[in-house]
Amino acid sequence: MSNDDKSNNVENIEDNDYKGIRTLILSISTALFALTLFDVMYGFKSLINPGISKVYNALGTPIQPNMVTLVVFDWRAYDTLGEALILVTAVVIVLLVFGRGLVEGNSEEDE
Amino acid sequence: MLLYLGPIIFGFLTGLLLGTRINPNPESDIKFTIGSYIIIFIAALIVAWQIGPYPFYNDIAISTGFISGTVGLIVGNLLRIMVKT
Amino acid sequence: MSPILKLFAFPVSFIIISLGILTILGGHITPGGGFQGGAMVAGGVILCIIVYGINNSPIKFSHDFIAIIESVGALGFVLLGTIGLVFSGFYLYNVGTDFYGILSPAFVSMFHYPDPTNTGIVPYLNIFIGLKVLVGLSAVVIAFSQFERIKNDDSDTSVERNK
Repeated sequence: MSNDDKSNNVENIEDNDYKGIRTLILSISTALFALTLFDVMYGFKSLINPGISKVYNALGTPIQPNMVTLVVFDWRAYDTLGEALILVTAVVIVLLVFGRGLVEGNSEEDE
Repeated sequence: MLLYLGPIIFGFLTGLLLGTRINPNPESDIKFTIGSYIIIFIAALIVAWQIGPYPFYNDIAISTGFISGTVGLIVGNLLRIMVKT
Repeated sequence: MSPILKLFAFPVSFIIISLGILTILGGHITPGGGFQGGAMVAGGVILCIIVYGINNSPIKFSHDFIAIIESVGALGFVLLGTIGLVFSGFYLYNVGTDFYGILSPAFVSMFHYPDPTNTGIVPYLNIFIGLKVLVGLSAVVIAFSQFERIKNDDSDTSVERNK
């Protein structure tokens, strides 16, 4: 019991010794990261290039009024197919892990 | 009066598909009779009138997709009760 | 659950499911679409499961129903794309509005959704995705709610084995 107390005391002394330096390094790196993020957002509007968005806006509105559905289901329908297959995979895996073969409660397979 | 058939047909089909899975428990302590389905239909009519039609649809002042979905659900429920007895 | 909840949950689930069907069918005009509408319908089904319990719930999805509807949803999406591939050379080509003008007008008018807009196959894609999502989310909640019952059964059998 006393040996455990002494080893706990030794570890506490070492944590207290390095705690100040760890806090200083953590705060400096957080400040640098925050400065980098804010520098990205400064003057952001002049850096954006519309690109394909002008083509979609000019040619898409006679087809359907909803621009989001136009991009998701008409110009980029192949990506939506991939997303639907991700949903299938997720449901199958959840039922495999948590089903244990008793999804509809047919517990007569125990007999 | 020209009604647009798209939401009516597909709303009724989807409601029918889900309605065949509904059957209230007969020995439960809450009994849902035919009168309660009529009240559900009247409440759905009021909600459909408040929602209004889809944009660019200029045929009728209620939301036809909503009301056909509810009708499909109720008809599917009655179909299941009639097939069981 | 108190009697107020049991009296209230079944009619309200009708309204919630109908709102979900409205969101699915208006995917090409209003915000929403297949994914969002399917989640709303699943919300109505999950309300009934939680209030009444898994055994007495009015809305019961059996295992066969879940498997069939999910397969129909995914296969419908893939087969609509294959129609575009066979008749025009592009997978998931919108054969309802012929954007490049390479199909015959008689074939294009076959896919017209009866509507003032001219969108092609996009409402059908929304309906198939909506079916898939509603069945998938309900299946997860049904599996989780039956997991509690399995835990009770296991404790009973372990007590019997100790005897």
